[in-house]
Amino acid sequence: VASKQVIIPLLVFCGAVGLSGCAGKPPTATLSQAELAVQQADKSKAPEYASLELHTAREQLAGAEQAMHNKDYQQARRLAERALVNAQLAETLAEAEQTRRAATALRHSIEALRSETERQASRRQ
Amino acid sequence: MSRVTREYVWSYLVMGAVVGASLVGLSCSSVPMRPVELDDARMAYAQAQQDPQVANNAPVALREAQEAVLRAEQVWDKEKDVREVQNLAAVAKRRVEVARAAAEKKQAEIALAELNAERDRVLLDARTREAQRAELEAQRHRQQVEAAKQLR
Repeated sequence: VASKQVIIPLLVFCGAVGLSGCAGKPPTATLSQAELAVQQADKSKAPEYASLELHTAREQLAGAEQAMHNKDYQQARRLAERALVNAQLAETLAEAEQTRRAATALRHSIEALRSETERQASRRQ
Repeated sequence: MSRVTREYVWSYLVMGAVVGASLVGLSCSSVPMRPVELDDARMAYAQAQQDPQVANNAPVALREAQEAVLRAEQVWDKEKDVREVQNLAAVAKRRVEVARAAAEKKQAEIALAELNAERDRVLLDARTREAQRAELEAQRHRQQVEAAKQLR
């Protein structure tokens, strides 16, 4: 009888611990990863060339921080995961655009160089 | 048992049956539907994978996209957690977009490298022509000097 009295509260206690375990730990690592990715994208050409994706990432990060504040850790983790990938997308899109523009500028300068040398050559003949 | 109590019993039985049936129905309808986002992500990945431009220029990013799709599928198979899988599938679809963007970036880098080489060729060509022109000029000058000497 005495052992039953001990076992039942113990089971209840374990169950409670287990349930709180389900609610989860704060996803601090995921959140700081997302923060870092958004900061990095901010420093790239993303504000200029991928503003939509960067904006989405920023909003999701803000939502994750809000959820963290409300101790809704599951929602915080999900939003942080979304923010991370959107920040990386913004950065990659911006880098692609930056490289494309550099190529276009170089193409133009080559054309200018060609026509300049041809003009010089024809002037001297 | 009086007639009234018998009616009571019956009505409770009927109510119980209705509640039971609706509970069964509820549990049946609560078997979650596979989220459409999961098929969207899978399809987006399949298309990217078949695109040689992506497969050749962004193999690492494409692998990451594949892993994200597989993870969403696994969580769906094991847990049937609709919201979690919707989130994972949305992340996976974005990973596919990252792979496409990375492929475009790589392609632009290749084009830029080719253009750099082309510019070097054009510059070299211009300098060579300039040198040849200077050489011709010098030659003409020498000939003029020679001619002047012979006239004296």
